[in-house]
Amino acid sequence: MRRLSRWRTLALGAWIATGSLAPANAQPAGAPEADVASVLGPPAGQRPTDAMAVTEASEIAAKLRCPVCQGVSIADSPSGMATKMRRQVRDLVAAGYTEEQVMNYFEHSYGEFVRLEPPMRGLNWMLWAMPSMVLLAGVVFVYMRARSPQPSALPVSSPSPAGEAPVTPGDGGRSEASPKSCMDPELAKYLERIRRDSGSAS
Amino acid sequence: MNKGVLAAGLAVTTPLLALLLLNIDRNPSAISSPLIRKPAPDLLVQKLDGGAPLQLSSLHGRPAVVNFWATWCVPCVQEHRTLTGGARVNPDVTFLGVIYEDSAPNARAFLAQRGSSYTSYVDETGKAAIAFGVYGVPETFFINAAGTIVDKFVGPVDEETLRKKLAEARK
Repeated sequence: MRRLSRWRTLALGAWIATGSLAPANAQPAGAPEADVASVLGPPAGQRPTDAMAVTEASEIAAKLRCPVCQGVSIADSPSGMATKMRRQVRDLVAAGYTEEQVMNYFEHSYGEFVRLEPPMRGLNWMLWAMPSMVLLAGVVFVYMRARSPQPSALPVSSPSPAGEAPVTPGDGGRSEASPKSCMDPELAKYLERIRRDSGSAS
Repeated sequence: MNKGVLAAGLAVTTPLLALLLLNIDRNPSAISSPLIRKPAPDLLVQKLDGGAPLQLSSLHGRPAVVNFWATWCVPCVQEHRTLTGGARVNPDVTFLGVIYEDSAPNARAFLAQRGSSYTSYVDETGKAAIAFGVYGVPETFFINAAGTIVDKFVGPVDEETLRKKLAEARK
């Protein structure tokens, strides 16, 4: 019933706007169409000057997706539909509708998809927050890894305990617990020579 | 394997896999209209063959089928016979065509050649297409007697689809 009465009101408004005082197809200058008025209500802003309207309409057009193109704004699309949408944006801006109202008008019929930048609401927050969260998680991971004690890949250059034979390439299976047993034989030989040299120097 | 790494991997991949499985049947190119279950746009459209314009809100009280079409659109040509026949056998429903991104002379020539049982309207400013959120043609909107859009069909309408959608619009 409510919808019916709304239709009647709109029909009456349209009849008055297009009735006997005006040609049947004429729209009163500057008056919002019945559809725009029913979706947006009255304009929330002031009527801009022509120059301001052109600038504002261009800014809004850059934020609206062309529905017949692939990921292009209506400002950048040469298609006929984009041209008509730009004209509609310009008409709405000239009538005093704000940017948010204009965006809402197109979103009303095309859905959120028509906005090139998804608005920060609902699940869209994840789109905006996810890159920062992943970056932060990465920083925390690297920091934690850097702080945790790591088993040294290189042998500790301490003198061998008394009685322990120096590590040689052939003794790999002799002491399994020793990290040195896994050492590259060439490296072990090299380190042993350094140790000997430094011992003889001191 | 490190249990922490395994748990983190599962935590990331499980929701993604679930999302994929839930939407596996979904056609990504099919965008549902936000206007469904909302009042149909109220616009003034001009008749193709002249005469008094039509305020769409005047359609209330009867179910309506609003079909956006163009002569250059092959699926529109395919569905023309179905819609013309549908309008003949469903006199309780108002059928109307809205010409999308095409010239009035082209549309007039097309209809003169193929005939039509319902009226087509021109949309030179594109405001009707914008208000209905049309992405391309053919798109057909089914409106109930209260003026609410009950469904939108993208692509050529066949007889079975028309029958089902009209049943919804009559509810």
